[in-house]
Amino acid sequence: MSQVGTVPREVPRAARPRTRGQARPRSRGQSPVARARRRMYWPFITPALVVYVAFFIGPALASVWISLHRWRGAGDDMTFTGLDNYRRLLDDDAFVAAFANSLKILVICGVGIFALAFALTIVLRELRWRRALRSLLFFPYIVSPIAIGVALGLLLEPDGLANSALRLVGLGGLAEPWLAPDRLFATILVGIVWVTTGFYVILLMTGQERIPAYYYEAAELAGATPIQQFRHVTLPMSWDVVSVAAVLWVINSLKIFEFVYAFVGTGDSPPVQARTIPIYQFIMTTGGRSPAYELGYGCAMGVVMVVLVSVLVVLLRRVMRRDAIQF
Amino acid sequence: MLLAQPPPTRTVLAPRTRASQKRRGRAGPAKVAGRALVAVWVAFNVTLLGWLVLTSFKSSREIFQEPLSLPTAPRTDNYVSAWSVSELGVGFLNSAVIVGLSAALVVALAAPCAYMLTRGQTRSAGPVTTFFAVGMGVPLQAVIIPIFVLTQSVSSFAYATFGWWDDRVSLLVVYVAMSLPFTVFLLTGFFRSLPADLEEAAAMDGASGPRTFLRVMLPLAQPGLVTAFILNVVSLWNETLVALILITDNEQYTLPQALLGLYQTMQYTSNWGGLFAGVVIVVLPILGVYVWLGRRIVEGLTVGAGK
Repeated sequence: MSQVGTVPREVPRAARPRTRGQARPRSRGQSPVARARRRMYWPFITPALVVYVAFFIGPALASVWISLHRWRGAGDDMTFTGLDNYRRLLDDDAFVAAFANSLKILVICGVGIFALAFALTIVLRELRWRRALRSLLFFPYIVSPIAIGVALGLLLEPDGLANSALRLVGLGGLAEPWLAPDRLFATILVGIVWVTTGFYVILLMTGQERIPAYYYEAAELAGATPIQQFRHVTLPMSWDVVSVAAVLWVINSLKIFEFVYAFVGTGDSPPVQARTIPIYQFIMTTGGRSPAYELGYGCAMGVVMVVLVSVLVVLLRRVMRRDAIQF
Repeated sequence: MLLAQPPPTRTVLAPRTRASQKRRGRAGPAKVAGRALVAVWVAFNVTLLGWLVLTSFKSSREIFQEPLSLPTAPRTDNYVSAWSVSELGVGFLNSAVIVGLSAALVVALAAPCAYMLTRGQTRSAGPVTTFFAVGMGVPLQAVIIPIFVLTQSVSSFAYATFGWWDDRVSLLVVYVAMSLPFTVFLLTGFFRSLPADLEEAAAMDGASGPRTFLRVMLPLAQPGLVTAFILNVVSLWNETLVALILITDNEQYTLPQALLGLYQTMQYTSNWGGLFAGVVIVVLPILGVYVWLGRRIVEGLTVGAGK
């Protein structure tokens, strides 16, 4: 749920003031309402703007600056090292592994989540009680990822419910050490798909609900199967929602932290095989049993993440661009 | 409680399947597979939740020796131990206060801002709106380290000057700042959907600008403000990374942090029942809010996804 957000592109349109070329209707410009509004503008906007700049944008810019230094925090002298931190990232096997894992979550979970979400929306469309079912699919998404991680950890322990149940029904051979270092990351991938899919089902369904029913009636009369209806009606007509959902996934998937962190649970940090960029950054800065406080290095990872998100979002927008269908 | 319990959806699915078979003559294998997927998935979610709740009433011995059985007698000691011994109670209180205050503050800051951004008719309104929206794409990892340094300096400065500081105040401020982009975005969309005539009418009647905002626009915008408040409560209730970095004193832990602490000491304490109870304590309030206000949460989360 901390992964809330949407794409900047949709925002300003209506808020955008008239461009210079357009004549401003005279009555408006001079009406008492408009004048009062203009006087109120800065007093109303400034408090939010100040907090946002001081505690979000400011720190984000500071990250870029700190990433050019070797620094262990307040009290330590900052040593300017230029791009050394970035070069070090390239040579650091642990970081490369974390980077690869983050991309694996992005791609593998992304494909899984969208495939399942599309399949589920096709099925749910035809079911009665679909809202209730949808809510039951969705709820893991708004539950604390820490609680989910702990719960799955308990479920998948060597002698936990999952393995006990498998043994009970005579499938003891399938019982696995799900949380062993080698297997942990695969388990985490499945866990992420399970937790997240419900949200994308809801997102895709809201796009679908805006499509007028007569398109489906026409398709059905023409003998289209549900899958053909999906391909020729649903997908093209809710494409804008699909592309927003894809952008959201890019933004949200890369910053997954709590879920992975809580999954391991033993008090140690996740093993190298299961680390992602956020986890590795946490370990290299303030996290773990004996924090490393490599703040400059940690900031470099943060900057890399912003660059990665920006590049991927721009690429995705370009790839998914279609002419809007009016209906 | 067995995994093989029939999914609660089966009774719903069956007659419907027959109905569509009648209409269409057959239910293709893809359709059957799809429905099975929904049924299994929903059953898994419900079973997992039920298992957590039931197990939280079992003793640690029962949990290990009979992981699949029902609790022999409903025991509440697990909750007592999680709440007081493991200090989840303190965490609950910390979380409730910090989350409630931050969510209220962020709405109080964002509402006037969003109102003016939609109605301001000033040249900077568009760029400022975009400036806020950009924050939604910036991962916390790019912000958190300078925030850690900043809050540390503030706290040591405050200690040196007034002899007092509470890291929970720092946490609250950071929560407000990081929730602003989404809240401003949500509320600009909401204010834009409100009719402008009422403002004109209020002005004709001689109401001042701030008075129009307080007496006319805020009441109209109330559903949007409530949605924004709820969404922030849900997401901040679950937030853990910032808390882990800023809060170091056990007494100041937020609830997820306290649960994590309990989980991490498990190898020494073996208080498994308490851990299950802890998970339930963390999950239940949000689940309650979801059951109560689910539609609002869903609508708020998907706002802006379309046109």
